[in-house]
Amino acid sequence: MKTPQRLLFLTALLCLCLLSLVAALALGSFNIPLEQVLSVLGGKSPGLAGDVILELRLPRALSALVVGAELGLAGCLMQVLLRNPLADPYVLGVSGGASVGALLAMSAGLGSWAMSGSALLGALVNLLLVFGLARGRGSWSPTRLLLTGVVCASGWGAMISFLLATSEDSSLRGMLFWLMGDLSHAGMPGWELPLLGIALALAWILARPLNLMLRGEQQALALGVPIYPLQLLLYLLASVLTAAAVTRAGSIGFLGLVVPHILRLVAGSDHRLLLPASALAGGALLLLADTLARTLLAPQQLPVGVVTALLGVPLFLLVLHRSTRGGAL
Amino acid sequence: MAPPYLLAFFLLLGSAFTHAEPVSTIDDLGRTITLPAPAQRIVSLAPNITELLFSAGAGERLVGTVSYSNYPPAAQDIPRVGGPSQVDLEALLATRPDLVVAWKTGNPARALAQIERLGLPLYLAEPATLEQIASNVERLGSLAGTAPTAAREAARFRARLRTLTRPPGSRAPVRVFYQIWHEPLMTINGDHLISHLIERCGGINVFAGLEQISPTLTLEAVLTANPELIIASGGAKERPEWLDNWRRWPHLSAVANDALHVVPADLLERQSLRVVEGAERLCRHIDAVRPDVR
Amino acid sequence: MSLLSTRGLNIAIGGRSLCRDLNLELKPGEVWGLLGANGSGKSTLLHTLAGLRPASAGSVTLSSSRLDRLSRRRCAQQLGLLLQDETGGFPATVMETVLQGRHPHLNLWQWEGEEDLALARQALQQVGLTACAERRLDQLSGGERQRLRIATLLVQAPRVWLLDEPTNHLDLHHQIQMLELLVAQARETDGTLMMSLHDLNLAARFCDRLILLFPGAEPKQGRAEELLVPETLSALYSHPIRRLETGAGPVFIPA
Repeated sequence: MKTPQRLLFLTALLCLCLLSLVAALALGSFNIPLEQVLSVLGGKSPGLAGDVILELRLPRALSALVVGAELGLAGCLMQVLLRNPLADPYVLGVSGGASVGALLAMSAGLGSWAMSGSALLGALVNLLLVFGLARGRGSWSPTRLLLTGVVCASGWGAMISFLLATSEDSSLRGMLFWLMGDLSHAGMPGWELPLLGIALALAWILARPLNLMLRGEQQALALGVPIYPLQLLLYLLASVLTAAAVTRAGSIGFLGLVVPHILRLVAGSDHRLLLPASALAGGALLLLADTLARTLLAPQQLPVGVVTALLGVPLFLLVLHRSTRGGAL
Repeated sequence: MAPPYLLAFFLLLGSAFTHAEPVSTIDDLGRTITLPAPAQRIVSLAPNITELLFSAGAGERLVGTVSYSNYPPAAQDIPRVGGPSQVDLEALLATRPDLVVAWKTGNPARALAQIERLGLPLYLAEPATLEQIASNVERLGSLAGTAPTAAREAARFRARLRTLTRPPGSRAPVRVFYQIWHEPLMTINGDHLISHLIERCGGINVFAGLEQISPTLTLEAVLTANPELIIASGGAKERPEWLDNWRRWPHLSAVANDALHVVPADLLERQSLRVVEGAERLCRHIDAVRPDVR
Repeated sequence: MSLLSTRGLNIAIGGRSLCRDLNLELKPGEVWGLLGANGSGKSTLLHTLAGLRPASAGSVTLSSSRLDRLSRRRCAQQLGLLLQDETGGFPATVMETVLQGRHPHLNLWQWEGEEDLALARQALQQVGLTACAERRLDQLSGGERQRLRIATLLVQAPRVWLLDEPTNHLDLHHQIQMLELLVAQARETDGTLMMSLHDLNLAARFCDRLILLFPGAEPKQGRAEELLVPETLSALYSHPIRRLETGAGPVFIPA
């Protein structure tokens, strides 16, 4: 892709985000005409309609954008770090650690703040654990990191099953819903916004070295990429982004795996384009999925993870099918 | 070790004292259950079943039950054979039951099939309506040989229910939102027993029309339905802290009416004779929102 | 003044010593051949000289700086390494790949400009891959991929060229063509070149100096014509080797 094409592509994705945002604000079981949506956003908030838009739809929509962007970006980084197309943000056990933290807080009957804190703590414990163990005596390879992460993730999985099996019915409901991923109680995103901005900027600066890393460690070293500090930074970035996403919305699956792949197939593998595009496309896809999750069977609500998969699987297969003629993967 | 003939003698003697005659009844799945003599060693596989058995006068014959069986207080001393969804079959066998009473939709089908394979007499209860609750008490009473007690309790239950039915008032029925849980936000549809109770008290379940029996909702859907009364399912004593979260929405009729109430889940959701007590509380809350009754 | 030199270099692989106290001097304009049997440590020596793996003892000096004190970027500006196969699981085009050779010469913020594109096009033309510029790596044959690696190295334009079996996957014609190209580039820029080879005839044709890695003995280095003698070579490969004199120079064949 040439530079004008790249800009066009990113602009198109940005428009998709904005359109999804408008749809998310305008649609819902509470019927609000579009003009009224605009006047509410303009500062006038007449009664219940204003409440619904400003207190319910807007925070939820922005959360979806941020979480989707975090997952898209983290997935893209994780795939570079592990040089494995099957990697997703959860493969190294970050979501497992966070889930165990959140579930422990739930079974102790703690409030939502304690739950978020506990989820974040669990994610950080996993981050240190996997890094410490994978590092071993100085050297670490993607394979070693992947293996350590996958084993830790299995360990967390067993703990999750244990917690589910031993908890009371009343908390079980909330636990299962959290594990499937849920944005219905997400408030306005705060600290995640600067985090996402910094992470995206950092990753984008490093995009050219990342391109080189995909050609293998030694080739990257030979072409002047200081690979070990870079791997550490990538690991930290991807893990922190994932931790933030999981803390806010539970483990929404599939998005982080498939968004970078769809973009690779459509737009090539230059990370200077791929990283911002993954963030934008991830945000748009999650916001669309969440809007569908709460309107498709309204007033009933579906788990958003189910909808992301329902949207993403056919989309991915379609793109893959069309590109096999060009022999992409 | 007593010689076998002595044992036979005592068995004969025992059965002579209890006037051993075969007892028979039909369970909620329409299967006929016949016992050679009234059940002496009963195991209940759900808390609501335990309550029904106590109401039927068979509480003293319970030799095993499952976790969460906390009512009446005497139920807490009965040995446990696991939980409703995790029945410990070895513990069940060890109680040497002559009748097992299970809850069709509350116990896993595989466990029930295994109990039948073991040759234990199995009564399957599914008390989905108020009348079925009463008739289950009667039928269990006949299996346990305590039919007079059971009939008396069932009659009292039906009489109390009759006093609940409200005359149609001058205004439309009270719009009620029954909240099972907050995260995820869950309610019940019109097929649920509680929805029937709400109607009996002169209210209407705002989500009666949904397909699923306990659907998950968006917050927005509740605001759109704008209920006049919100009933939260809660513990026996404490008020769930999430009930007052609704006060964030002062436009909501229920908040304006100050009509955010709790009815203990054990009373309404357990399908036992205590449901009439829950229904009475429900009706009082609904009455309070109806100016014509007040 | 040597471009790349080692002082007291010790290299060990898995407890087995490859060389002890190795002193090398790669001077401008020199072409070095690296010969040895399979597993003798040719790649390991090249990787150590390129700073990809640490030495057990001793030091490598690039121009006038110690290699382990140079940043990878500075090192890559002066030293290029042609690696043997390495697989990447993600699609990239030939043009994107060859442009990566410019990485050490661009700073973090910089995008490849027209100049870099021109260099890339020139390199592709030199290795005969112009027609493949927009193809993806997985659509290339083994020989084409090897030439792509060579093109990337040409774009990197180092002064020290370390080549690990540059003739891998190449047919006879391309072996000669690519080696002539690489040697010419190294000589034109007054650089130095060291390549590991299995073909003694290519070594005789292109190399001024040789370093031989013997199994279980210290390496030998010296002028090519002094070392390319049957006794030394037979010991090197543990197999008798004959030297035939022809009108076009000596030819080596296994007995």
